Amino acid sequence: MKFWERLGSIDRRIIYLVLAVLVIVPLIATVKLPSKVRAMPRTKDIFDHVEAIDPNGQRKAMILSVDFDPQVEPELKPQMEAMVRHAFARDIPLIVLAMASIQGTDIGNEIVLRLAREHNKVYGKDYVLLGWKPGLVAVVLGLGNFIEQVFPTDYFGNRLSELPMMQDITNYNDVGLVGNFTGSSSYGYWVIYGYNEFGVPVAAGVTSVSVADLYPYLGSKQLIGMLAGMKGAAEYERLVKDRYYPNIDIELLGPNAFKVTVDEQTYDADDDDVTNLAHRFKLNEANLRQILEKENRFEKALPLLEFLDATPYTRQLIVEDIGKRFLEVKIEKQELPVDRAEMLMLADFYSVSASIIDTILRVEVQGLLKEVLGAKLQIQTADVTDLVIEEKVSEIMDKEFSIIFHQTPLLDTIADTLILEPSSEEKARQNLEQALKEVIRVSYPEAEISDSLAREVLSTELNDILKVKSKGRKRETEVSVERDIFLRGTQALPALSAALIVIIVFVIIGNVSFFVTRRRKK
Amino acid sequence: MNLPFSTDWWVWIAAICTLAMFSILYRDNPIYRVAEHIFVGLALGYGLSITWHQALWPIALRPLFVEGQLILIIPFCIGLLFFTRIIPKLSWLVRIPIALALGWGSGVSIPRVFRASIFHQMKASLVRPEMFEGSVWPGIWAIILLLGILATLSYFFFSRKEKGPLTPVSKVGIVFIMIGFGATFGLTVMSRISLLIGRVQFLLRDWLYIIPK
Amino acid sequence: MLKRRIPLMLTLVLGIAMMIQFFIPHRYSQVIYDTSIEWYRIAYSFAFILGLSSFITHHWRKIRHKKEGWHYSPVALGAMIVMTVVGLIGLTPGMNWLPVNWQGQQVSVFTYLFRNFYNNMMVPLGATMFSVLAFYIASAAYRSFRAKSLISILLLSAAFVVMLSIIFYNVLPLGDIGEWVLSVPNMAAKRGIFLGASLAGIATSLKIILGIERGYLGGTK
Repeated sequence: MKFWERLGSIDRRIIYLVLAVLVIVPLIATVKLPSKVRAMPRTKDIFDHVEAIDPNGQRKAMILSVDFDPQVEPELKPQMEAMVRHAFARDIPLIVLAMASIQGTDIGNEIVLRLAREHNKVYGKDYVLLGWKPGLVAVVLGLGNFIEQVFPTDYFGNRLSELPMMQDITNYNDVGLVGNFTGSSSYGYWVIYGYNEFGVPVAAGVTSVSVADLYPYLGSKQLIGMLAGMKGAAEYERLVKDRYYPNIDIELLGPNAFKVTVDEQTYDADDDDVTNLAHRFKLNEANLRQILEKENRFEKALPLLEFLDATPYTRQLIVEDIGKRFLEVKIEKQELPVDRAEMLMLADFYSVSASIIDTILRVEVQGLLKEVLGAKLQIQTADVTDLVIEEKVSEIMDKEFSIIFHQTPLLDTIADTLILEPSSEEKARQNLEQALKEVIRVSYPEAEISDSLAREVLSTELNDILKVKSKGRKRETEVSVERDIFLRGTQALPALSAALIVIIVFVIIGNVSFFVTRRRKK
Repeated sequence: MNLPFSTDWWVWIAAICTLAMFSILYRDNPIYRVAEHIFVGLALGYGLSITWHQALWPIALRPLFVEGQLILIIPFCIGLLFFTRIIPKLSWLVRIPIALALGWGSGVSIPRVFRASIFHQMKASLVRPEMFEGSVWPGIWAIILLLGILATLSYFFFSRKEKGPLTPVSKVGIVFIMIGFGATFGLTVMSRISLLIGRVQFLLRDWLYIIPK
Repeated sequence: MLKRRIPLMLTLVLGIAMMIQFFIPHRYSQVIYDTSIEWYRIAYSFAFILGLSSFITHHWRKIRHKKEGWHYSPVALGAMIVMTVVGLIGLTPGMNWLPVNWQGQQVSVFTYLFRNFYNNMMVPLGATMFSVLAFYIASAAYRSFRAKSLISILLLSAAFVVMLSIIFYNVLPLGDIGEWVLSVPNMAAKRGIFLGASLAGIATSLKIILGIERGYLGGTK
């Protein structure tokens, strides 16, 4: 009897302690995040809608309306982060504003500015922060007429008309989705004055408290979808990560064999698969599908295609010359010392622009030049500085060169090493010739050496070295890229479940004790 | 040097603020009180700064005084009437901007709320024959939904003390309402816990580096 | 008398005008409507005065009359003044007084303080304020959530189903049951309440326009 009574009067501090422990422990203990989060239909609806906003067709923007106070930030911030990542990954112009809550303005700005740095997005071109304006109904209605009427300037005081992105975005006609993150019922304004007045699709990210209240609007399709609290954030995070931020390993097994691992799945791929897919940016998808289907390889290559589709937006590539022909490539936080062939392969994967490849080539040719000259002068390569070169130029000029000009084999080798498709070969040729000329101009400013002679000297040597290099390419190499994004909501899920279970248990204990003691008293 | 916690002193301030707020769990104490009042002050100060830089200056003062759109003197003067709140003798004048705002708001909202919240909602509640195509369940749920809506409405409009023909219907209404409130309660619990987790995440990750950063 | 009649007349005229405007898709009607939106926002920018004046009066009175807990009022007022000053100066476009290095950029010390007061004080304080409720709700649920009657059993089971469906969403039937509860019985209740509230809202709006509801005038004279 005493037991049951005591069970009904547990001190509140014990309850606090149990709850605290059950929140903290799962957060610390979860080393590996839950890999599968089944998305509720309401979440999936928003994701699919954003997927259907075409950045290449009519460039439609996404408005994110930050209408929450700091008090509910932990629930809504992860939701907003996930949606901002999605917009950035898909190159959707992003407009961020606040109207119902003045205090949340800078939470939104902080999120977007931080993620923009991560994604190399340019202010005014890829995203715009509009800040806050008073008037609720007047803001939502006003944006439907003319965005600039409501927000003559952005958050930083720039005129909207001066921002390149806003040139083609006038009102809701140019907006593919309004995402409203709110701890109140401000989604109502967007529905009544945005959707029903102008037809702009509206999605809401809300705290769990108001989830049940949104169903009337969801049922009537006046809202296209909903992110429900932290759970909704976790679901959206997962959808975005699976589509755009996979962990990948590319293993070069041999001359014509790759093993590509996307998250946990492994695919075999050959040179053609990889290069073809890498060049899909020049082909349209239908073409590629045709080619691959003809060779019966579509099944195998499709996941890879999807992956490549997703990655170019998100990676930061820093290339540094670390002496001789080695380059150091930093992909996000990873540092990879690579040689030329590997570099070019990476360049292919990450869709690095031609100008960067050009720079890389130039750096390398400079290195080669030093090496060649060093050999000719019979001194250590490491000692060859620009000054030494300059001093010895005349000496070289005195010597007789009996080297035959082999342009074609050289360029073939380069093209081979470049793994470029035929149409790019010409470009590579031009790039290299230009690079050579530049090297000669820089390295021999005083020498009166004709272009053709210098090229003659260099190209043969270059040829030999490149041949060796292209063999070197075939050694085993592994390139691994980890996507390090913090999945705030996903990480919270185990703790959320644990805490909910403990509350359910406490309610049951309270009830059992209540009924047992009442019956006994009777 | 790699310390096992943050060395950014602003993170420490944020952590101290967080702990000060949690101190209420032990009992009401001066530290909590100070933290609470700092928040209220900061929030208002923040609001004022944003109001000036985002609203007053760019949409009211600059167009009027710098760009010379003289017609805007009218809304500007109406806005100025809010200041009469501070002057006891003229404080009745503050009713004018409030009256205008309410009048405008009501006039704008009536037709639009009717369309969006009543017309659309009622239309979405109708049971249509195509709901029974394929599987019968969507149709059955739609019928239950419609009955539930009618019962809930009747609970609000006819739950007077005196018994009428609709009294049993409104009793069904309460069943639906209670399920609705129960769902909201469950979700509220989840909401509060999510907020707690968010703060614990901050303490363990950004401050103490226990969760790898 | 005039003090009440003028506001009432203004509400009536503007309310009816805006309602009529909705049904007239004419160019002039649209111009009037656009102008009204712009003017509304301009006038409404000043509404912050209401909150500010009551905040200052409240704390000033507390300090003057040394009411209980008055020593906290200077803290609130001080925080407000400091934040307003750093905000007004720090948010000015192109501001570079007393530059400091922050996040790899040269910013004014005012901008620096404003950002950090916001991100590292205001946001954590506010966010923690509500997260404390997690403990209270756990304790309150344990203490007072009793399945005493049919109605409370309904309430309790709906809450449990929804919570369990969140925890075990990956376990198919539970997740779907939760979703069903939310999208059928819950939606019926919420839509019923919603329709009722919308009708009531429209009625209130009409009352305001017609001057029947005049609570905003203050007093009951």
